[in-house]
Amino acid sequence: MRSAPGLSLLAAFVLAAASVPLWGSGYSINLLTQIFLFGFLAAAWNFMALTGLVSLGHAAFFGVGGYATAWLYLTWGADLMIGALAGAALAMFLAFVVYWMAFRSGLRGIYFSGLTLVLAEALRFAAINTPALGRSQGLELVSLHLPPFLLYGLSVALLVLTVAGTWWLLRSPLGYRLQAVRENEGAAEALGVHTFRVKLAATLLSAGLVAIGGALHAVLLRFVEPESDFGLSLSLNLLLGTFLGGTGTVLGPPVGIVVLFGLREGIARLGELLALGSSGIYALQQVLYGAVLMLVVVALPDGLVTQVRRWWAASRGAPAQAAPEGLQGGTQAASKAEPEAAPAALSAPPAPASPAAPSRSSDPSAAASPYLEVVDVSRSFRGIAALSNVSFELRRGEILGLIGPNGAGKTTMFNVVSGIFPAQLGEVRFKGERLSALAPHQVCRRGVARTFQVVQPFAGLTVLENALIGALARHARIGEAREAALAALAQVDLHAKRDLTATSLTLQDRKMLEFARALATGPELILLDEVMAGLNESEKSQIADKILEIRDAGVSFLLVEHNMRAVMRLSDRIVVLDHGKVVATGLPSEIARDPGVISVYLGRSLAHAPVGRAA
Amino acid sequence: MSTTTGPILSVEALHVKYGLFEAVFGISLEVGPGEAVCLLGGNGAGKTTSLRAILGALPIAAGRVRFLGEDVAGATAGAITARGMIYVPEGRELFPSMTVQENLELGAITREARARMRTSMELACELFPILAKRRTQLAGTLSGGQQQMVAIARGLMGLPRLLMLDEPSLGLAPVVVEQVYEALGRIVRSGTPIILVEQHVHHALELCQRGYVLESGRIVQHGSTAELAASDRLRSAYLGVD
Amino acid sequence: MELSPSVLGQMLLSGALMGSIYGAVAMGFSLIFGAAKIINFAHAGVVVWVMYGVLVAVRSGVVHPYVAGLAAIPLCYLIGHGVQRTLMARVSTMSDDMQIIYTFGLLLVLTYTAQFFFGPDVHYLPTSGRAIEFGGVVLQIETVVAGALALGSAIALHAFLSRTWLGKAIRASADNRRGATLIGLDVVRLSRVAMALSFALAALAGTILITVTTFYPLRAFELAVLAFVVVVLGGLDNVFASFVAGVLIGIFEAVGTLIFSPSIAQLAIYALIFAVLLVRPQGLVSRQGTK
Repeated sequence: MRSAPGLSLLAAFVLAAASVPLWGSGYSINLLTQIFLFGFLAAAWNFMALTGLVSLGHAAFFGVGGYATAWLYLTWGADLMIGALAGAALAMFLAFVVYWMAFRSGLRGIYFSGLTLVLAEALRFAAINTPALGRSQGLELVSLHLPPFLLYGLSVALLVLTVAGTWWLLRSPLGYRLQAVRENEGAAEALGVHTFRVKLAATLLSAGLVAIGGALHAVLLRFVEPESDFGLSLSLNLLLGTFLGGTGTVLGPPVGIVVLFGLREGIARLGELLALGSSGIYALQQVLYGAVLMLVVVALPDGLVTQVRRWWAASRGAPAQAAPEGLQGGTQAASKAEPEAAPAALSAPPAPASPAAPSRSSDPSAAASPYLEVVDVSRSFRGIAALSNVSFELRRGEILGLIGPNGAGKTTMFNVVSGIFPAQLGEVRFKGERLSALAPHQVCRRGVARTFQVVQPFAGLTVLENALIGALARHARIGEAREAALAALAQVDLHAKRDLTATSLTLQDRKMLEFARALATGPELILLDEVMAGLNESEKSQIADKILEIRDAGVSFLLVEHNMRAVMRLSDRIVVLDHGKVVATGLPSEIARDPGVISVYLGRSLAHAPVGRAA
Repeated sequence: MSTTTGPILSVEALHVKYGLFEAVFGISLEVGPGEAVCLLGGNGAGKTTSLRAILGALPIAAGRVRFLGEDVAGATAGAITARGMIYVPEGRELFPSMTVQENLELGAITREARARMRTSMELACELFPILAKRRTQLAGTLSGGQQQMVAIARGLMGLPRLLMLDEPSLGLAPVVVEQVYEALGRIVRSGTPIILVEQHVHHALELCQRGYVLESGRIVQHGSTAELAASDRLRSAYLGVD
Repeated sequence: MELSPSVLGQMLLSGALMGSIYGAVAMGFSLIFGAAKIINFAHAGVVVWVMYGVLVAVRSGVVHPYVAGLAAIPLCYLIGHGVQRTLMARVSTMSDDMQIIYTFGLLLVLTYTAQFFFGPDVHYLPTSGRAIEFGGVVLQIETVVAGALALGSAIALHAFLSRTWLGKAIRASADNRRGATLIGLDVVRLSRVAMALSFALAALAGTILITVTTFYPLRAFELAVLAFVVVVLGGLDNVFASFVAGVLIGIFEAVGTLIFSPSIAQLAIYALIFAVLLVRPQGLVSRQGTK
């Protein structure tokens, strides 16, 4: 959805919706209210799904909103608005308590979804067994008589606000971070995204909104009861609507809900024709829902909206294809012809001379002061020492190579420096500050970025958006962040490909993207983890040249590489690890001839063989 | 049973793609009856990838693989293992929550191997006395060296016609590596053909008669291990200089 | 409140018996997750369908429920085989979230198809009314038989998994799937066997469940949640632990019901599951470390 056409679409919708009370029957108004309400609810569920969290128990928040409103109204005569807000606050509090703990313990996958399920079930059970809440009969708001137009208007307003809100969110810093977390939490963390906070924010937002939806639903139907307010079917219907339309998209949730209601009404008509009876009709509807769920997973994982966009674009001409935005994003390679969020005025690549790294001081003594210090670091896993008393130093402006046979501890060293594991003994300091106790996103914000051995692009996002996530570590506003991202892309010659989806890139380009992302965070030191792996000779050469170029622009490097020629050529100095210990440190030429190093690779007998001429 | 007069394993012009990129560019090698052959090279040279492709665990992009006279390119790992090409994986890949005994039993892939399980088990314990004492211990709680011994013994349980060993010294202390190679020496002397991938070169050169050196997915040198030890190609392949 | 030995005994025994039935329901779910790494919420749907199948068999012919169950077990085994080949083959390659959504969809289909054909009403099989009495403890004979069958199947499954080569191979492929492939095990075939077994277990669970309790289509949802709860407690990958966890939950429930009330007991179980999920999600019994 782009700004201008989107706004007019929205305006058209509001106008159309506003006209309905003029010609619509009571039944159709009621139906539309429900559709819009569920569209709103699905869009609210979507907020959590944007982050990659599949909640099977959103009914928990829905029910809290509905019951709170109903109970406060019946017991205290409270204003319905107050009730709704109280319900939302309560739901958000509940979400905060439960999910704070869940995210702290790193729950994901089946355990996370299971937790959401159990929460809803527990609340349903509590409602059934609480006399004050009417037990299985629930509560009836008999004396409530609100004009249907009011409720209708409310549901339209909520839907419009949430859809617009989703559109806005997707373009805000938080929105980009949400998507980064969904695509690849580890990579997001390494790029400075406080994943814990982001997930919690999405959850709270979603919970509060769904609770308000529950309140409106209670008022609309004039009753709350455990099965329909806390039940699994409700949670599944929300999930289904968003999923069918396309999780993570702006229009997906309401579109999906509309289709669902259409199917529901269709079955109802069919059922009447076949004289099936209300229970039979209901059952048939749910069977259809189940079938749709299965079908969507298998055939339409990105949802209807994305699929239709693709067909539309394909029918207009081959190259224009919409990028996948769905929950499964990244499984299809696609390229966008028109940028969704066009960068402000930049059409030409910015001058590559402007470094992404902060300006370095021209003070000569700065070059000699300690930069990255690894002091006596030890780390064991299950009793096996991966690192033992490892100490080395990296000087500002240096390219330091870290080599050693497989299993020597190089990757562990990287993970300790970048904050993935704490060092058990010893310390890592950067510019005098302790790095060892920090989380990866904090390490990134201190100026130390890293790439991963197995490339971890944000598959469903474009090249520019990938770099943008990195830039957001240093720039709070989208405008500045975008400029920094473009500059980083220009430095690695990816500017021309900025609107392609990450999945459509070659391996070499993906490695460059990984590099650009790290650069966009404005680092002073980059940890490169086997960046040459899998590339051919000329590609390796290109990356090596890039590394030198960027070093000259003021960034230091710590390299892990297996490709010996590359390491020898690039590094100013080399540290050799074997079995978790430092075996040698020095200039490449010294290292290549060091008998200790040679014996690490080739064995003692060959260490002292005469050094022949170049082969 | 057919008599094997020709090579046990014959690989011609093998190309392997690993996901997005090509890892092996047309290598050819051979293992003759009773031979011990090593595949050397630095990390990322394509040694493990080659073995796994030959074994059928990775898809082959092009080339021929003949094992015991039969074409096996494209067959599944299960089928090839059942014919006697047994792989001892890099990093051991034991079943950590199962006992040593159970891990060994699972090595007996074919019906014939299962029928001879008791004998094989005794031989394995003879080769690695430590195993006898730790039969009921969980494999995940063993030290690296012990795990490697279990992995090799598990391979032997399948009555291999060709044993493939992938970096048996990985992550092991030098003393333990000696022990492992001592046992491997006995296996070689008993006549089982082996193909050995190693990063630490000297043990491989001592154990094997012939070797191939890989660099960036291609064979850059091959010959008897004596020839290889004397050349400088090895040093440059590993250390990238000269 | 009097806690005489007979009351205590009654509580513990009936709790353990019910718990063993819960365990039987959960075992199939645990097996398919452990062995094929598939989260199959539809398992509960199969259990409920078997219950309806047995009901029909009992009402039409003069077939004793256990006899019907005996026929259902091998039938379901075969169906499981077929289902793995068709519906489930692709599932193992999906991400966790997709598996959950997909199998939940299947659960919906199964549950509401049952409701479509059989209506939402509650059904139950008439009990024989006979009971075993000793030392002041009274137990319905159906409950005892159900518990015994559940225990028997747990033991049989355990024996299969720990003493036969095929069973060990299934465990191995769950323990280290890549390692299993590399040493030549046919992991696809093994997951097919595991799925078939889990269906057979569902058949058993359905059969014994129908003899001791009422049921209606939405039972499937309750059973799905129950299976999940039991398995989380026992460890998602350990089948016998699931059974033990089921027994523990049954006892916990009985104790809670006696000392407080049924609802408090249930709530306590929910609280327990919360605690487990947040502190040690891999289960109380599992040997795995935290992810």
